[in-house]
Amino acid sequence: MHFDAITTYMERHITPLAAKLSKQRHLRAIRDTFMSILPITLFGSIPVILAAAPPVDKHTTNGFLLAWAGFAKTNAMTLTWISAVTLNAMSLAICIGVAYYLCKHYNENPLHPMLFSTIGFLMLVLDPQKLGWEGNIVDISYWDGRGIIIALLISILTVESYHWMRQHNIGRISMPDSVPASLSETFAMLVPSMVILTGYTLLFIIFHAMNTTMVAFIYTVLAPSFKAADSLPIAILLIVLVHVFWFFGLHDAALAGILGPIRDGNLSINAAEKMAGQPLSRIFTTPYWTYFVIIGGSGSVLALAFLMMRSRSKQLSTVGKVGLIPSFFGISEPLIFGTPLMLNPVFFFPFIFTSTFNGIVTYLCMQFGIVGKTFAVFSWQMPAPIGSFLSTMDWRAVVLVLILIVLDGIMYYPFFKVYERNLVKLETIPDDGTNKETK
Amino acid sequence: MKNIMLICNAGMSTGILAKKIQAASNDTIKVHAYAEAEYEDYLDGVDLILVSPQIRFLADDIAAKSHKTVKTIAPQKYGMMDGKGIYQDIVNEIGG
Repeated sequence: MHFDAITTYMERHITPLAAKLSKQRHLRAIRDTFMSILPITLFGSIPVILAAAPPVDKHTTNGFLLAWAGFAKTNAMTLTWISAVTLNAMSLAICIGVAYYLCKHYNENPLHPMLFSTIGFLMLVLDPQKLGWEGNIVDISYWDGRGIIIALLISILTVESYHWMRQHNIGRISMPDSVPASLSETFAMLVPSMVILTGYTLLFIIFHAMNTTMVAFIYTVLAPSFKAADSLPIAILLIVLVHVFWFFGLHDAALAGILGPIRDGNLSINAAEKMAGQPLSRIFTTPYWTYFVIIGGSGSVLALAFLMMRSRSKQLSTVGKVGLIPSFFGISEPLIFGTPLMLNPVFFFPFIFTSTFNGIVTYLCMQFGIVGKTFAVFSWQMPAPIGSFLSTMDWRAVVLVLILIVLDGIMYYPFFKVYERNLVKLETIPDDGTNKETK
Repeated sequence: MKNIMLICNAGMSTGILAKKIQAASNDTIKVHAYAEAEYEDYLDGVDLILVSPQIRFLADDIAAKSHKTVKTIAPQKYGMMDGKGIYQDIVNEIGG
């Protein structure tokens, strides 16, 4: 009763918030972009893994390890270059993607805004070292995760200003009737284009005069907040927030526009560090989230699915059977809506805090080097034990995930038992059962 | 043949459900699942849109954009992946 009042009150506020966040055009474009770049990040993860051969010395006799190390050494340039233009060129892909989706939102032909965004990005993110007739040298370091902020800035500003100028007919000169319509259209397009490209050029000139690039400048200024975004308190906050959304049965898509850049950006930085043979600096990455924090989907329900499989309650065993396989692939909707966990007071604490617990333990394990940090990602549907291994190439990560699954089960168990007892009671009184069990 | 579109965030969990509804209908209706980011490209010939409960807050938005009948799937049926029950709801809504 008390709980119902609170949840009703919360739901009245949280649902409109979710709606608002997920309809916000920029957040939406960012979210759709992060969903679309998966093939690139996935393909780009392969060379990073191939290059991550375990160290060998003259005592190593394992033929496979020796061959792998040899392969990684011989092909170092190829592997680095492939990852450099895929996974590590993430910001460029994001810049193009956001421009595309934002144009789609405005029903604007996306070609020119996408081209301009790309040019603006290259102009302000790449750092020319030597330009001449041949042997041109350009530093591309910042087009990895460190360039995400500027990628978003450029694509959004480009499309917004382009759209605004088109709406207000800036540059549309009225031509005599004898002039073909397409020519008039060309002029209407040319002026906004010149304005935008001039804008980038001015920015380049300003930052070049300061002996830096725009991306490096912004990154240095914002570095402290980037550092803060990769901390345990922030990780806990975001995990709890996402799970509160899910407790109300709301997809965290509403938050993806914020989570995506942080998680993928950090991953891309780790991948770049891995390729360069540097120690990895980031923890809060996409694979950290999908393979370690939410094991079996939001709510870390894989362990719960195992418990429910053999439940004495018919409803729970049915949901367990329906939900186990999807949960193995990170899809938790059957359990969230079928059990239901959603708005279920019995499961409030384990639902929110099991994933939080996973997040804290993993974070600390990675921080203190007990488990390797992540540097590659596969789709979120990859089962956690496999995904955790491939993203870290550390067998201890698999052990950690398996231990976490057991601990998740222990945390869910008492609450599961209470709920099961209630349901079994209701199921033995057939007339009452159907209505009450959802309460 | 009636054409039903299911929409969820990534088209994953509705993908599982689409098969079950299709089977429950004995292939008398067509059911396809799409991600929320892409559904607008596939609206041709769709008779009814069903939105998964976790993105129910987007139902109004989808109705406004698609000019189609949009319903939210009941959470319990969704969780149980109750193809038969949802097929019945579809029949009640638009007829077999």
